[in-house]
Amino acid sequence: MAQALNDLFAAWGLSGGFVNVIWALVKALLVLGFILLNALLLIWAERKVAGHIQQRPGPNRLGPFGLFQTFADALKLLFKEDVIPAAADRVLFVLAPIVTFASGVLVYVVIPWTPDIVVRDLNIGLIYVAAASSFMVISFLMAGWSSNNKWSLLGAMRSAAQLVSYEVPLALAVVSTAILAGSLSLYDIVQAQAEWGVWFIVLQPVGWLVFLIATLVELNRGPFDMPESESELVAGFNTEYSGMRWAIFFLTEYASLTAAGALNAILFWGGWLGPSFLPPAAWMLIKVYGFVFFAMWIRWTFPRIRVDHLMGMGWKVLIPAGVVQLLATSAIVLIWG
Amino acid sequence: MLRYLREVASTLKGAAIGMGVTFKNMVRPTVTVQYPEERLDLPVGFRGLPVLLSDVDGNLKCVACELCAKACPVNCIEIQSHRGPSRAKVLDAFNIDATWCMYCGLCVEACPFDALAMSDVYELADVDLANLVYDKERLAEIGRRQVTATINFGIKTGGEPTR
Repeated sequence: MAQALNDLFAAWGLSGGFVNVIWALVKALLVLGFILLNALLLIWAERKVAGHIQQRPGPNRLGPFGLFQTFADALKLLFKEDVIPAAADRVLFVLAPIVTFASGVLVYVVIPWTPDIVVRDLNIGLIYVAAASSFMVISFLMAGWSSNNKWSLLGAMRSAAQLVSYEVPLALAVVSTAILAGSLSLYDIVQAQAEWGVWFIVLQPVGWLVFLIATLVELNRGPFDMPESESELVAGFNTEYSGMRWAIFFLTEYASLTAAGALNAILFWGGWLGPSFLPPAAWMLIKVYGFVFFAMWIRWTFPRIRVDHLMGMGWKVLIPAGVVQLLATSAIVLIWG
Repeated sequence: MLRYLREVASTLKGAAIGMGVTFKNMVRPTVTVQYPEERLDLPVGFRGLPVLLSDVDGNLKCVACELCAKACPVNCIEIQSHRGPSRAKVLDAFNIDATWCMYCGLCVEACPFDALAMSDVYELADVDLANLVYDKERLAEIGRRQVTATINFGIKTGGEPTR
């Protein structure tokens, strides 16, 4: 299909640079469309999972199995009045959701869904992902600070604290897989798993646990949703947000969740690898949405843990475990690699 | 070090047990009753709106003795009657104000002739307060839809609900 489009552009007499621009736009639109649709479906799925865990059916009135509920919600949010608090810092307030969304979308650039479907396979993919996802904390701080509201500020501060401290174990766990694969490119990491013949989850179960917990914390999802914690901080950093601006925060949460699922699949579960009775893309999607379901399951099982306990777990359990994993991996690769 | 590892292991085990519980609940059937479409089967003796019962000929069993009105703690029953030709009381009006009624069932217990019973009619919401004063015709109409014998002072009604 790509070749056919290239031929078509050539037939129209378009030059190489222009074709590249068009391709970039097409890819960007595909990613955006995926993120939007994916978020709408995941919000529905989250409600369904939450409902069934509590023995309720979840949304079931609008459309088959209540599928259109989130579409109606999105429509409602689109039409809501755009409220900016009088005391807010308008520039930062407007900018914060955009920065959040940018951070969520940027990760999608390097994710290989199959060997062929990838926007751009960077050779420093892992570093890029870490960099792109970690500036989300800036947007949370922007949102919390500009709202000029103590709940928002507290939520933003908590968000900064937990995101910054959990970057460390996350990086430790991720770097171990990069050492095993001998590359920072996400595509090469999956190829390395094909060469090793085992998925890295088998070689690095501790690293995976560290990655899993640190990812859930980075995503601000329950039981680590202290930045939002409805029961104590109203809604945390997005207290003052409503309508579409709020929806963008929500959208980004689910975009990041899916991206985290993709990273989890690529780094530890062999990406698109799998028995050949299903196409690679199907294996990838199964792994991604398996992780997403797992995250929802965890969210609706555990109560929110206390802030100091969260920090304690990060610094006293996950970082030592991550360091041990990293040292062990490095030593083994050094000796036998 | 060993204690530390054991602590981590027991934490993980506890988390796994918790997730097992929620998973079991996830695959269990839901308990939701889709209310307007589905309704719970009410037990006989459920105390809904008190209604007037009729005998086999369709005449009200009420003899206007006013014991129910006297038993009512909130005075929601209003009875008007006059002496008929044979000096028996003839019931002119029997109004139950459903806005006051607290569904205690004392009127039914007080009735010596089983002329009253607690029905299973409970969807009484209305936009007009006047509609909530049930006169003897409406009470008798609900009473005639009786499908069970009076058990625990209550009856079940069948047929299309009217108000």
